[in-house]
Order: sequence, then C-alpha cells, then structure tokens
Amino acid sequence: MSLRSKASEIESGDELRRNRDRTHDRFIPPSSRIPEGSRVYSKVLPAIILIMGALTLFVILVAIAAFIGVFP
Amino acid sequence: MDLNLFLPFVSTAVMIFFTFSVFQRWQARRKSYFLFWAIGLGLFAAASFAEAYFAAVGWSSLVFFAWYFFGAVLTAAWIGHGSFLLLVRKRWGQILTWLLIAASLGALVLMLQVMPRLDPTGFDRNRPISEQYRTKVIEPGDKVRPGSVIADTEYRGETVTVEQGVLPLGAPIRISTIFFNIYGTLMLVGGALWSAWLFLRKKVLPNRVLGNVLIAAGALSIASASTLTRLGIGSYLYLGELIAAVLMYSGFVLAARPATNEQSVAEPASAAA
Repeated sequence: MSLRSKASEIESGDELRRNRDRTHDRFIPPSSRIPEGSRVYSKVLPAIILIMGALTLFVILVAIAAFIGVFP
Repeated sequence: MDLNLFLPFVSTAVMIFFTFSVFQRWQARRKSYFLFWAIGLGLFAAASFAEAYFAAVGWSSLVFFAWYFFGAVLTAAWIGHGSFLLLVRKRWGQILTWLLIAASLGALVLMLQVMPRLDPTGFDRNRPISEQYRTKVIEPGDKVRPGSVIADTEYRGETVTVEQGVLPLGAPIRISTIFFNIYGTLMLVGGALWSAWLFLRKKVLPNRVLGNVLIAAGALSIASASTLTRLGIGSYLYLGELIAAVLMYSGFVLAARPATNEQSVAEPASAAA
C-alpha cells in the first residue's frame, strides 16, 4: 500500500469517526444531521414538544376527573 | 356521503395500510415492538370498520363487541405498549407484556359478561355509535336528545331515570377503559415526544424528529376525542380517529424513511416509531 493511499484511508477513517453518533454507535452522515442554527429545530419544535407534553397531561387529568365523577 | 360513514371508512382504509406497513416491518426485523404496534393498529382498523358498518348496515352485537372491546378498551394500550417496549429494558418489557396480556384477558371476561345485557333499543344508525353507547343518569335540568329512549332502572339500590344507551348503567367494562387508555396515551404520546426530544438533542435525523411529533399529535388527537366521548360529547370521535390515522401514518412513513442512501445501509435508530 502506497503512503498516499494509507494517508487517504486514515483520513476517511477520521471522517467516519467524526460522523459517528456515539450514543447509537452507528454512522450518521452529515446530510442526516439537523442544520446548525435552524430556528425550527432550536426553538419551534422544542416548544411544540413541551406544549404537546402539557396537553397530554391535561387530557389524562380530565379523563381521570371524568372517571371519578368530578364532572356531572 | 354521510359523514358518519365517510370518516370511519377513510380511517379504516388508512389504518389497514398502516397496519400492513408495520406488520411487514415486524416480518423483516422480528422486533416485538413492531408486533405490538401492528396488533394495536389492526384493532384500531377493526374499530373504525365497526363504525362504518353501523352507519352503512345498522346494529350488530358482534360489531359492537369489536367497536368497544378493540377500540375503546385495547387499541391505545397495545399501540402504546409497542412504544414502551422500544424505550425500556427487555426485563421490564417482559413484565409489562404479561401484565398487559393478563389485563386484556380480564377485560375480555368483563366484555363477554356484558354482551347479553346490551340494549340496542334506541340505536339509530344515523348517529355515531360514540353518542349512543353509554347509558346516562338524567339529573333534573339535564337536556335530553330528541329521539332518546328514557327509562327507569335500578342502580345501586335506587330507581333512577336514564337516557338508555347500548351498555347498561355501571357496566364494569367501562371502568377498565380508563386504565388501558391512560397507559396507552402516556406510552404512545410520551414515547413519541421523548424520541423526538432525544433526536433533537443529539441534532440528528430531522425526519425522525418530525415523524415522532406527527405520531404524538395523532395520538393526542384520538386521546382528546376519546376523553370528550367519556364526557358525553361523542360527536368528535370519528373526526379525531381520522386525524389520528392520517397523522400517525404520515409520521410513521416520515420517521421510517431513510434520509439518504448512506443512512439506509446503517442500522436504524432506536426510535423509528
């Protein structure tokens, strides 16, 4: 193996390691990453997730209240 | 076309495709969460079909069994249990799986006990079954729907006036629904939101973030409609089911879609709901 191809292999190995999602231990290509600085992913979606979580708890509480006869 | 027929018919069609897609995934990967999702979605499809049947054909005890037992009792819990299996350790998953199966069998006994006591006297195929299934005590000042059957009945040692529904007053099977549905809603909505949050935090797989949010929104839609039905407002159930079917299927397709060619070779993420 030539020095050039060896260097290229090390480079691509580094690239692979950089792109690896350590939690799932699998390869995540750059195109599958959430774009840096995206307002939708940094602000809007977290807010939607929190609101939906709160709504879920509300719906469950209303269901329990209906079950125990709080509402006529 | 009548909305009471159209909405459940479309929901049934969507849920059949959805069930088939998830079942195919289970056949390919043999992961237990896909199996529970497929069973739960199949139950959803059967319950939606029952609603379409009521509107198109009319009353049937067997179809009511499918609608109430599959739809009101089991669906949410079995789909939600799939999400639970995806997110927790195998040991906890096995314990809860046996509990769910035992509880479902217990509910089946309660359902079979109530079947001979069903009263379809006031059943009207032009109204959603979700507005007619429960027997309600009429208090002074309560409004009664035109065409409702009013009767006096014995309940806990007293004679009470009721608006007659299909299920008898105080049927134990109704009590079981709250436990199944709370578990199912917590696991399904909570699991999808948790998965979306994890991907968001790791800044990976935007398709799975959006897919899981859509799944959670769909599940929340049917949970809200079911809660309204429990409160006596059953006219939104069919719409809630259709919204749930469309959102959850869209979310599943989006979450399961490989974002790139490279990714399709890699192992799928743990929360490909």
